Amino acid sequence: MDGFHPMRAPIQAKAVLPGALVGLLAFCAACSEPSAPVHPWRANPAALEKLGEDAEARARLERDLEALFGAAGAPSWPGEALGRAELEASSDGERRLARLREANAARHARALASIEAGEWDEVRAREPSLQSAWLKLRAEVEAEGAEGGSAELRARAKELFLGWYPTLEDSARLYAAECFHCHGAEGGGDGPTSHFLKPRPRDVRLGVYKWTALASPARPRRDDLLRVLKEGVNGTSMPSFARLSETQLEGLVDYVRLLSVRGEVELRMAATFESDGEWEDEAARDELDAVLSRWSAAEEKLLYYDGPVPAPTTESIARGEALYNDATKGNCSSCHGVDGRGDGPAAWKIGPDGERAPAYLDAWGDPILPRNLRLGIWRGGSRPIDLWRRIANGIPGGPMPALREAKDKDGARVVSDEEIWSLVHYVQSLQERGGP
Amino acid sequence: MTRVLACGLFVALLVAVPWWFAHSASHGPWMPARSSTYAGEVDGLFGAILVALAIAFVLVMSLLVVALWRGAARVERARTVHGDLRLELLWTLAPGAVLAWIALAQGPIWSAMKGDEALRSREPLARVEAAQFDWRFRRAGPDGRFDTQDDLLETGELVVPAGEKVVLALRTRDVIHGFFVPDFRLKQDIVPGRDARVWFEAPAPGRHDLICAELCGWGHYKMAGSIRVVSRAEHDAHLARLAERWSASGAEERP
Repeated sequence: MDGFHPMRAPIQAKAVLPGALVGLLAFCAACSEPSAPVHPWRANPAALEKLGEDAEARARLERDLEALFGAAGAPSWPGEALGRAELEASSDGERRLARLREANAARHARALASIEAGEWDEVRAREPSLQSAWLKLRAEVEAEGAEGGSAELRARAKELFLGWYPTLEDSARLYAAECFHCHGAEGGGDGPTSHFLKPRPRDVRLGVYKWTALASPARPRRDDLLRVLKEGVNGTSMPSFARLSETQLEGLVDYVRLLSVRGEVELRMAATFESDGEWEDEAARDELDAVLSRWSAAEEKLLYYDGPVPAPTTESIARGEALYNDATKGNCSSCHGVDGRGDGPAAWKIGPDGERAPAYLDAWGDPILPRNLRLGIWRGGSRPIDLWRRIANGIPGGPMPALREAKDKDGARVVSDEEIWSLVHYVQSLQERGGP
Repeated sequence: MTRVLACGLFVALLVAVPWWFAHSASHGPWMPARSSTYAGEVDGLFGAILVALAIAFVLVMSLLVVALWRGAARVERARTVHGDLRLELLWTLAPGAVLAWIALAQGPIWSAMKGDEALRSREPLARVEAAQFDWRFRRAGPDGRFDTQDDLLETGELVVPAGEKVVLALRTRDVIHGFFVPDFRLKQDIVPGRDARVWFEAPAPGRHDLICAELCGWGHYKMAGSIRVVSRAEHDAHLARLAERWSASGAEERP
């Protein structure tokens, strides 16, 4: 290295250029809002299996679904007014929309401040549909060029941001960013992360939802889905999404319902084909109507207790314990175990290899075990009324029965509503005893 | 001439940049808001350490420049030096003194944050139950005891009163999580099997991010919640609403 000297080393010009480029790219990447690609909807393997190798049937099903629901990048709702229109029409629509305005005011605070100050170039929305609506509005008002145009622009722009409701496309993007990696593009519960999770993420294509406030396995209300989004499902991998704005969550509810209805129509179409070997011309539309009728009837199936919620007493807990263990009444211990540890004899069977195995499968085909009642972890909500609803209505999609429906041979109820409260009190007291 | 300019610029940058860093630590735009009573003290310590490090950084870098400068002019072969006791004592004792000063200066702040008497004497306002990947908050309810039937639970957001010492009990249900409220300068790891306690006092109402500061699994990045500071009256009203929600019969949801 004779003659080499660090102070006289030539600058490596060739290395500077790529370095600068990488730096520039990194800077641009850091500045831009991240967005996830929207993945295409694939066919449900369970539906394909029913269609067999019939290529024509497969193509027809795909065509029919696309005609009703659009494609993943451009989803559309068939006919029926949903989303914002549905909110407006609902009985507490005004209150809901006022809440959304509040949420929008918080989410778009910056844009609204810029509008107030008349700094039009600073007004920006993170949602593509809102941004393009804003640009269109601005161009429109400015093209008219009238005096006082800026006052009009201010009023209309404010209304645009405050009254914002996500389009299905906006929600599809949000779904791709927040939900896709577990729930998959079609809501099949088979996203890339799902393989690492237990329990598995919900497959919404069956239309079966466990955590609702409804009697009988009805389709969930908006509020049921909203509650799960806000609070998450305690004890599973489903986290709370309360950090998103209320408006975004309502949009996600719309999108999840779209995926769910689409999945149901797909499965029902396939089942019809399997039994009949063909479809009527209007088959997809008919299936859609049948599916939607269940969703729209949800509100009427609300399950509630008529009267004030009783407080736990020593007597009610003792009564609950008796019901819990009585095989002709609650019969809870047969699955949940005498100690409530979820280890009752009926929950297990001897598998083909002589090993102990879960006795039941859930609606999605996964083995299912009874809840350990001593942990105080309640997936469908921790309030007394939530537990009461679980016991009264059972849990759709699993072996947990609806005690409210249990009747003796004369048609009388085996367990009364009040007795279900005693069961709730006893179950809560199990939690107080603690322990694994 | 170019070398003189280059070295001048180098030294100027070495002085200006760390000074700006240190200045920013107390006044800069990139520090989160200071929303707890001890946030100012923590920032003061942070700034002081940054200044000490900046001085050391400038010193070392300047010596490097001087060495390069003088070495460039020299042509004789390198030779081995067997040490200089005075120099070695200097560069051992001087940083040692700085470290000792840091250790002593942080003592009162640390003990105020982690050893405050309120941590033992006060009932926790709520128990934070961290689990992959949620922050849940348990209130003891009227009986003042946790894990009983009158407990109230919230997810994602904890409402606390302003202008009071708030004590929280922290517990994790699965793996390690880090309870981190940047605006409060409050960070406490929650280790499985051990209950931790923290306290803070937020003087003014506002909403503050709560994030997980320990990589806890695939959903770590989305383990975000918030602490909402409100007046005492609003806090009590919130608790009353929560209690009402808890004793609901479901009839209020009727369309």
